[in-house]
Amino acid sequence: MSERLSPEVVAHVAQLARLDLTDDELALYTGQLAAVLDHAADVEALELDDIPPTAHPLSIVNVLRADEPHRCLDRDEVLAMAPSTEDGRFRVPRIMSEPGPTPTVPGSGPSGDRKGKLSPEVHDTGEEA
Amino acid sequence: MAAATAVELAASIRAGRATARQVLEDHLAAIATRDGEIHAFNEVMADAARAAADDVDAVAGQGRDPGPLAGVPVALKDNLCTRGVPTTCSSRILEGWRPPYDATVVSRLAAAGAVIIGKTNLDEFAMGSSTENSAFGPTRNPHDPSKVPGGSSGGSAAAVAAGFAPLALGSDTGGSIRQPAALCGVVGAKPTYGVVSRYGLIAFASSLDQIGPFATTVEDAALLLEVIAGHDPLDSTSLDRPAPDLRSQLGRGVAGLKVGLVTELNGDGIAPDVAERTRQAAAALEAAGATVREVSVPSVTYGLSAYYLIAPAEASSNLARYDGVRYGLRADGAEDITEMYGATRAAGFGPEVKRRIMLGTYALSAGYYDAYYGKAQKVRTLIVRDFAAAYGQVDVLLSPTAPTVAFELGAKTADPLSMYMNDVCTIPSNLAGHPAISVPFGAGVGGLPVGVQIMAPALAEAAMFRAAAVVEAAARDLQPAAEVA
Repeated sequence: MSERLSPEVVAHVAQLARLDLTDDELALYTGQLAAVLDHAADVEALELDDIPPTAHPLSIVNVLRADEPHRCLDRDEVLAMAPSTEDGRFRVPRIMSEPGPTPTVPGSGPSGDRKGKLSPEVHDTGEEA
Repeated sequence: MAAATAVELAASIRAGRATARQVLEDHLAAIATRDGEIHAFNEVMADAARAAADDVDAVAGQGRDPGPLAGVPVALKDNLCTRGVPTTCSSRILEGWRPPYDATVVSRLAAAGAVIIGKTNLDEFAMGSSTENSAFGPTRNPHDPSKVPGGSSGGSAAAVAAGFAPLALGSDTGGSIRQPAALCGVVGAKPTYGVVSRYGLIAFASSLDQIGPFATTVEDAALLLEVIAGHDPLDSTSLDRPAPDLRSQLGRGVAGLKVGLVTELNGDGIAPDVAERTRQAAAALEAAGATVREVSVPSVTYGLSAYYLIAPAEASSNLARYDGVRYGLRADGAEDITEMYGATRAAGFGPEVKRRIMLGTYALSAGYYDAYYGKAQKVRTLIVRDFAAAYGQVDVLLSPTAPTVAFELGAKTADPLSMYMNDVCTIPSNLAGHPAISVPFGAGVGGLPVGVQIMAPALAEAAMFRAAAVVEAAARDLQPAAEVA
């Protein structure tokens, strides 16, 4: 097994990804992720300083639609699919913690700032149309 | 099952020689007989399909044209949004969710007169190569139900192979259309990135995902691709150009076409039966007037490693939205929102999705980004360059689609890396954004289907389909794969 990954690192990554893992899952994933990273050692070993990265197969930038009004999704239809709503809004559990240890910042997910502008979200699952 | 092709069915229905309703009932009967065993479908949309078929018949009865897919049943991978119809990605986290809108491909199918017959099973969020990662149980290969159908679009491939629908749509991020097409003995194509709108395709890895057709013939696949292709203002990565004209080119043959057999993709790691069929397909193209030579595309050997860093990285970002707030599952009893996120995602995602989210989060995290994600993006540049050099010498490239014929259920589930190896021949086209198609070419070990892959440069679908038609014709002279029971 690889020395590349410790259970502590995997636990930290799971926390970043907002995934609660059991102890059994943590042990299993530590071994399996290490095996994939061992395979990726071929890429890690390459000398590529002079090679520019490719983030996307198309070189298009700043695609804008015509600035014309159009109907958006029906609010009631969208909210009907939410786990909990109130007064026409999504309802969530408490966000601010009681005074005490500093809470982790609830984010929309890991790594969103690392991907730049290259993953247009027009095909999202229900946030716009 | 020697069923009529989509081209034949649409022609009969448009000419009034058959009704869409009867064609649909025949396919619903096939599903009722055998899908209990195969499990191609997550949901059969019988009532909506009957209403759509009756509409097609009414239009035809008035002497109007219902469209190029008049009355043809089409199955949809269950990661394509259908308004008001459950769309699950075969995940507990979206179980019961009904989208408030249709994917663009769904609207285009309806406008062309197609009848949506149901939603097909997949590896959860399209992550897998066997359809065993579905939260709702695996799909089985119609040629041998002890074998996997491939994946992730295994339900769509099996539906077409079993005669449940003449056509189906899948999505292909690293081979998820072509590999199951090969294992199930049907045609499957991944178009050039941007040719088909991704609006309403639930995202896995946005820079790689592309929707494409499954069919029993190359001509049917071309017809379906023509219907779904073309610019869509709702997808900013949709190419602003008209849908390609493919069917009118199919009969042109391959005289003078230059074909390259990819050295790196037909040697180590490819089973002898599959490698032999691939060499036979090359010989068939040569016999039809093409020139064939070996071509080296050296960096494709790094494709697998690069893909399994890039795709999980994009997935870890795309799947951050499943947080129990706006749709799908929410874990009960959490004290605060952070606890709710962690518990919801733990309960809603299956093991492979969790693995990939963690792999991607790791590859993007501080201290590892340059070594993994950054390096993988540079390898992507090498692959694009090597393909460009190869296409300076030849028009299309040939390789196996998958390294082996269909394998036993459970054979690779304990070792994710061995499962990932299934995608070694298909991944490079996704990284480059190029089109590629799998065409059935005889049988391998156990009488199971073998598929060969034809790859082409961006927007060269017409040449790719021409070569595919020649390979298809040559396959008719080979020992057939075991008859589908």
